[in-house]
Amino acid sequence: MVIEVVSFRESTFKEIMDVLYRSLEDYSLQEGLRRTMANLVPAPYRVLANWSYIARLAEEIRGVKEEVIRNIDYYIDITIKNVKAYARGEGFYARTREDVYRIIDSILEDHKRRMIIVKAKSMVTEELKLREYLIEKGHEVYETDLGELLIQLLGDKPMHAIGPAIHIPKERAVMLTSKLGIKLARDAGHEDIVRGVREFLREKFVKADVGISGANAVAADTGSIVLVENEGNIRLSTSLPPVHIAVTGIEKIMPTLDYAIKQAIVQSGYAGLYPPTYLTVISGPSSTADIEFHRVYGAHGPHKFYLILYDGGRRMAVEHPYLWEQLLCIKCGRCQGECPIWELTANNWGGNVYGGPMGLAWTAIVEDKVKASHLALLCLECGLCKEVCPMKIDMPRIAHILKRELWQS
Amino acid sequence: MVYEWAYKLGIPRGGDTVIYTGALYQLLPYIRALASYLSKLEETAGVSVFLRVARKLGLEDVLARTIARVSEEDIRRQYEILERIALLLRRAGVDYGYLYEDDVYPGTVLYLLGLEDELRDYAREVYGRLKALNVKMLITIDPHTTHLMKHVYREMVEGYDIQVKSYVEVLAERELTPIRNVNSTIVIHDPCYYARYLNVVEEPRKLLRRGGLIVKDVARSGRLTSCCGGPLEFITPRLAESITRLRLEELKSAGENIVTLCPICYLRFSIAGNGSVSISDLADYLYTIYGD
Repeated sequence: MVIEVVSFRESTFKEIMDVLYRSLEDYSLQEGLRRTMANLVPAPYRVLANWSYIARLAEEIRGVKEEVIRNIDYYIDITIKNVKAYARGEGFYARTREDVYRIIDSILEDHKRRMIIVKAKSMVTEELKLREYLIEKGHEVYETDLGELLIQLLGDKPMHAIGPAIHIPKERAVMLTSKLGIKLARDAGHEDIVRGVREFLREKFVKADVGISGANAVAADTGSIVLVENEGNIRLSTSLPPVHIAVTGIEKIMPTLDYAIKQAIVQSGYAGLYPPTYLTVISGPSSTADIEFHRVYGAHGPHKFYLILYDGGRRMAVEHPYLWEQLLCIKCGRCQGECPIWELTANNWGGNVYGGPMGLAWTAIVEDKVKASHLALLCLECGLCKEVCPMKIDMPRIAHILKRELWQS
Repeated sequence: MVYEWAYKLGIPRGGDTVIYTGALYQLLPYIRALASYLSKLEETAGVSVFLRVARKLGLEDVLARTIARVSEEDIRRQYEILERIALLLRRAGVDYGYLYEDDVYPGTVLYLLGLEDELRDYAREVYGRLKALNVKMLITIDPHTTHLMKHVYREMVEGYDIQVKSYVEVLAERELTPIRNVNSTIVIHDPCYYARYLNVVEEPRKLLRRGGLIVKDVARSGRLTSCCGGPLEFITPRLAESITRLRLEELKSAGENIVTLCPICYLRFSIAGNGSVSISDLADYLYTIYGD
């Protein structure tokens, strides 16, 4: 593959810096970050000290992921076959955003015209702007992860891989939820906000026609997906509606279900949320064979299951001399919390979806390499992101090469 | 200006093993002046001005304005640190020389900005000079020069075969006997490059503890140390300052005597601390403990 030569553009850099300067002066953002950092950063240390096998699993996972990425076409292929064979669902490979839209449109065409869709948080669907697309098509779409719902209400981008609303202090969250008609006192506490949102969303879960989720990992050998969460919103989104569509990146594929579960455990541990309240394996639609051992699909959970494996630049990255390594990322977000620049700016130092150290290569892969290179100019190359990364991705080196290429035109 | 301090100590010229300063300590007063100038530029003209400088446009003007801001006191202070390092090595019985006018700048800032094509050519030139002088081992005194000469040059220059060790490692290897006991408590700020790129973490602690010092560590120390913001100084002083302030607060939560091992960290914390906290270079304490 050709290594593109990009060149320094003063206007691009100025745009980036303007956003960063505004972040430094944004009181609400700084206050939200300050409160969050005190809880976010120490959590993985406590987890890793308590459960020493998590670091061991991380090491094991890295090797397995490398093998999958080297043979990605093979793994995409057998995953799709096994979604049908074992998970009784339908698997798709989607190269572009438009491909994903087309697949989802065709799934939804089979059903009612205007639907209620409940969504679990997923960074890949952020890449796809899937919520916005479905709303434009006339559907009623609700993010059900509390942080992501706040992002939806704010019309902003997520500010962290697992905590999209870490920059929103509770006072602002109260104001945002009032847009849904949730009435809370101005000085409402965290618990009040959670209760208000729970009551609001409960009805949506019950009425929803379709549930959309991402996946923390995909098992090629069984066609299963693995999901980790604490809120319980993913379980409701993927079990109450009659149709479940999972959309995830091709790099989430693991060869076997045991490795997929291990990857989800590692992500949960390095995110500092361990043990996970819910670790879910979904292998297709719900079913029962309780009467005469005759299997009927569509019991209490969905009767249809679809898995869309999204490329969006990833397959190109597999061949790339240095960006390929970012495909090992399990998106735990730990590098973000530890980065001195991210600590002050959150994902404002980033592309449209991914920010912080992990965001440099991800932005280059899924969005815009020129922008990523300009963002990389700010990297301190201090190396802490690599040190704390469960996959030991050499993000400082990636940043250094991105910088270098800026000057090479 | 790079080598004046060495004349005073009568360090022999050349040899297999030499102290290689890479001029970073000596440049510090100029970096401080440039930083203060860039900071003004950033306020008035935004970020792009420096980037022109980085691409060598308008550089002379910036340098002229910079030099006008350099403080004599800063220069004297940096020489003092260099002298202390040299005397400590002498006390440890290390047989070393100095390159004087050949103690050239290795291209640290070029590396940090990713200007690698420029650095590659320059590195070949520097290596050629060192080889012509028959240098076999460099004793470096700051983490950036150490990393550059030990790892980056090795990757960039074919056949590179010079050994590189920082003075902290050299001193830690020797069984130096303390001359004085210092009964105080200090907080170490590990420089990123020593801790993570060169694995120099225990050496300074060992040397300080032997002299009776109590070394306190913040949560983010050793391999998990957090950056002082220095590398951003030339790109966005405003963001660099915010990073420095946060890190200094963290260090201050553990104590008021902060020890750095890198001239850039030293500069950043000295400016941000503005006299409210004591910032010392490792060499200051080591000289008190082991110096004659």
